Amino acid sequence: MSDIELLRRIEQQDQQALAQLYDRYAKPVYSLTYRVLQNTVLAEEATQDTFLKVWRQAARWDARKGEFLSWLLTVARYTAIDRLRHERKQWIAHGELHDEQIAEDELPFRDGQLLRELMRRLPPEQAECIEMAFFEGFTHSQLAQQLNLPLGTVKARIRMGLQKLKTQWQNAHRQLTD
Amino acid sequence: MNANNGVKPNDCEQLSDLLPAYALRLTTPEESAIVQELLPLCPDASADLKAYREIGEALLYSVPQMPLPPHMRERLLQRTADQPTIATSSSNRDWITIGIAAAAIIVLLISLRMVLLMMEQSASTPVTLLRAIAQERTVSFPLRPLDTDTTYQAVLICDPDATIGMVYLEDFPIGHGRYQLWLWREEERVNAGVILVDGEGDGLLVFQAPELMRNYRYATIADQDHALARGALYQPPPIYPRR
Repeated sequence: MSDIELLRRIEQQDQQALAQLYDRYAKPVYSLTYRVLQNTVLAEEATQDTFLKVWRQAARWDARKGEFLSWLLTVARYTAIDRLRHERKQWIAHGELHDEQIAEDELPFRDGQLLRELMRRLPPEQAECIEMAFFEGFTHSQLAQQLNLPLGTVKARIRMGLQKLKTQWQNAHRQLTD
Repeated sequence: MNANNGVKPNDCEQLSDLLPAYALRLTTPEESAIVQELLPLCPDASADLKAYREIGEALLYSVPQMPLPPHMRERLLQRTADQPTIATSSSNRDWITIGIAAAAIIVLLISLRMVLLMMEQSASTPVTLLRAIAQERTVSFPLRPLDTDTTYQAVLICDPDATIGMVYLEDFPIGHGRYQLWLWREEERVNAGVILVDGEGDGLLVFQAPELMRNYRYATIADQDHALARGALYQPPPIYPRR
């Protein structure tokens, strides 16, 4: 059954359809929320919240705007970052986070793998700024404060890092298609 | 990047500098406005933006895949079982939202009316709105999220010939906990109040505007930094400021 068919059934509150969608996409959603939150309990909650948003608002996905999974992962990222902001205050009081060994799966996401490889080639300070901004929801000014750097330096690191990524990304795709 | 249409070469360079952060939604409202203004005018910018957005999308797929916690599936399905089981389309949801909000406002307004009566005051603006709701003179305006990938939504209900209205938020990010409602006339905005959201990201505010609602062009809902949702009221503006 296609994603669209599943979503139509979910709109009719069909639990089996949601279960099928979960079986199909829970892993990338959970992996992303874990990447943001670095905590299994919170990542599970954010994953559940993401699927509950689909349950409540399946009609919000517009097929003309792209793949369902990309939309779902975007919703998951926002949900997790939102949760992260909410929890940060608590973490200051309660301290440490879990540090778990990440089990690598065979990745179906070739572009994601490629990008991860390209990120490794970036100067570490540029990769760090991009990752903190993207996965942890820091704004430029929050990053500057967090890293104790001038705002202009943070902006430049992100800009230069992404510009390099773009060039390498386009070269890599060109090689794949040649 | 080349410039044309009277755009200064520096403009396209500035756009080129802003595009990477813009694609990942890291720019300030002012920077975003500059990007949106210059984007159609700099020939190569759209292709660059597309490439940066591809990188943003690939970042979503770049994280190491994790084993799922045991029984998460069962816990999720249990939570869906706890949710209302009425089938809803998006348009139905809007009406349900409006219905819930209207019911809430009626309860609030009746309470307000009782207080006013106790204070022996004459007929007040909340009563005017209550009458307007009863006489179906109120109008509802959707305030749409600026980010199309999100699921939150809001609706503003008011009588154009009154100064009171209400706004209902659904599924907003809970991280901020509170949002500001702004009403705009031309380039001036007035603070119409703070909306507190609960653990579900839902919130309700009954507000009093300084002037008749028909004088306002549009409304925005913002956190500390920028607007999250906006919608036209009586006189849609040509360009929305992003705050």
